[in-house]
Amino acid sequence: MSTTIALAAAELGKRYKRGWALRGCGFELPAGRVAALVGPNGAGKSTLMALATGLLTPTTGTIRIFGDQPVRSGTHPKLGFLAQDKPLFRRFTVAETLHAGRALNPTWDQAYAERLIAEAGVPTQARINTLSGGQRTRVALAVALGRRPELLMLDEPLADLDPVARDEVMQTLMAEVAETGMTVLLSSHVLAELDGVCDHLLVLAGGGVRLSGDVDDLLAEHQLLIGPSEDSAGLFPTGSVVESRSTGRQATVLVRGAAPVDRPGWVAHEPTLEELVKAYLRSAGKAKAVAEAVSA
Amino acid sequence: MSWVAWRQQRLLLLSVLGVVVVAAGVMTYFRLDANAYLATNCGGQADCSGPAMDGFRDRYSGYTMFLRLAMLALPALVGMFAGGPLFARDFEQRTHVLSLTQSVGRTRWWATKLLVGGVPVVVMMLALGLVAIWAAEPMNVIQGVRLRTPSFETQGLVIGAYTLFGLTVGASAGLLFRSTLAAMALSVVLYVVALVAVGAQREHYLPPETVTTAVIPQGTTPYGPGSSGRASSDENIPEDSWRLAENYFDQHGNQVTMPMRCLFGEVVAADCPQLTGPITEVTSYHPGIRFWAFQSIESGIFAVLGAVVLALGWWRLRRRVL
Repeated sequence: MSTTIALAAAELGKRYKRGWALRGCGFELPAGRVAALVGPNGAGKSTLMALATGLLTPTTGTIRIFGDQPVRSGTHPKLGFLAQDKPLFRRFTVAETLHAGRALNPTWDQAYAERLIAEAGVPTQARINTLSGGQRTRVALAVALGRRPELLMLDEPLADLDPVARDEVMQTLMAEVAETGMTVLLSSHVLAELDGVCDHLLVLAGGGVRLSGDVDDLLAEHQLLIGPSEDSAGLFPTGSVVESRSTGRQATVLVRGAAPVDRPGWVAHEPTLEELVKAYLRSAGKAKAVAEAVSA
Repeated sequence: MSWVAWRQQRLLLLSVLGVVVVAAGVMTYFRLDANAYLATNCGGQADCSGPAMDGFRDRYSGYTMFLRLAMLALPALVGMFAGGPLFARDFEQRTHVLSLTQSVGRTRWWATKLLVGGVPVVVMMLALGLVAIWAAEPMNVIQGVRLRTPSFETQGLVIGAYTLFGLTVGASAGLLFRSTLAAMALSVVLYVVALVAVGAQREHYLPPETVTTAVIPQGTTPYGPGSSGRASSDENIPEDSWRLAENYFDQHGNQVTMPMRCLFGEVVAADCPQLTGPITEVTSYHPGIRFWAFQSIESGIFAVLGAVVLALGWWRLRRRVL
């Protein structure tokens, strides 16, 4: 049985005047997943999403939404996008914002969008510029969902929200995901928010994909080992060590796919999502620092 | 998309409508007032001499001066406010991301915003320019020749064309620089530059008419003390003409230079051309009836400039939106 691929990139690259934002990116996101897109600032997360919407065109390679490349006549009808700053027409009322959604989309579910606004408790006659950050996010989410997308991309949707609003937005989102079965690609740098929500992971650093796959599979493939630091060198097969750190006498090593180490003083356990992602981001950061030091 | 464009530009379009209606109202009032004055004091004639006409000038010269200033500034202001923020405000508030991640392509987004936000403005200003012609009729005696600056620039089709140009510069600058302030500033600057540069070429729109206005007999100065004055044929030139230049020709038909002292000197100086024979003065001019032709040509020039500027903005949009 072949699974539908909601979003796929192959050799995807985007170069700005200042250099490459993305380079040689390749991954597949199967339909029905809730995927976390994580990476440090400047990793290319927003660029990746802009390429998917068609706002940017790739310098190299392709990106496909349900098999189709982005076209110039608007964003793919199956793709919904919520940008990081949640742009809305500030002087429009909430009702006018939904009217705009209807005017801009042939496939628009007005009843659905109105229901989302009602559930959020946002007054429909209020102007956008009078709303709180949380309310604005709920309106922007309603506009993105009103198109009835099968793939929803959200760029840092929780970044500027207070903790209560974060929970509310996340709950709304997950309820709609459960109801519609849509695919979600969600970028964030707060990993704790994504744990338990996402079943797919895409780690982006330095303009490339570092890790991509099912969260449970990835966690099972990795081991976090803690042992004496003087003993760590040469203990693991080359290529299997993702990252190794030592603090004083103790070494922490993340290993991919290696057989369990059975040595006195070493403890192995499955990493948490946060440990896994941080190890990959740190190792990418070190590689970049080394590369810069070499080239300097 | 057109609803969104209308809703975004609604306040501006209604403001322009308000300004145009008020300006047209003021002009209409002064036309009626001037006609009433002429009916009472001049027996209904458009031009009568004497104290009645002096009174007329006193009464309306302030208004005509103010009107000219207003009509010079208005296309610049309207073009700037209608064009500058048209795209730049979207980029500043990042709402272009919202619009362009729906089912609307960038070309349709660009074209719809221009049509909805631009065409009504240009049409309203064009109408105001036509009202200005009609309302200025009784005041033409004060305003002077309609083909000349500043009468030419402050009425007629060109009001619409100037607005179109300022608007397109503002819109395209917004696409290029993504800043409302920069787009508005550039709109005004280029409007002034274009107005001056194109205005300098206006006399060349059509070849001028020529007429012989005087013959200077050999050995005389036409305006010097004691001279009888030249045999003037000024009545051959209609009063509403734009006189360009007087050219002088000797008896063989060669053009000669005529220094001022040869026209106004007490005696004929040694280097004056009229020492060798009679000199014919030929005046070149554009007759007032060319007003509409010149208005059309100037409007066409500004429309072409506007189209070039629009194409530049569209090219920019094709290449990059984010």
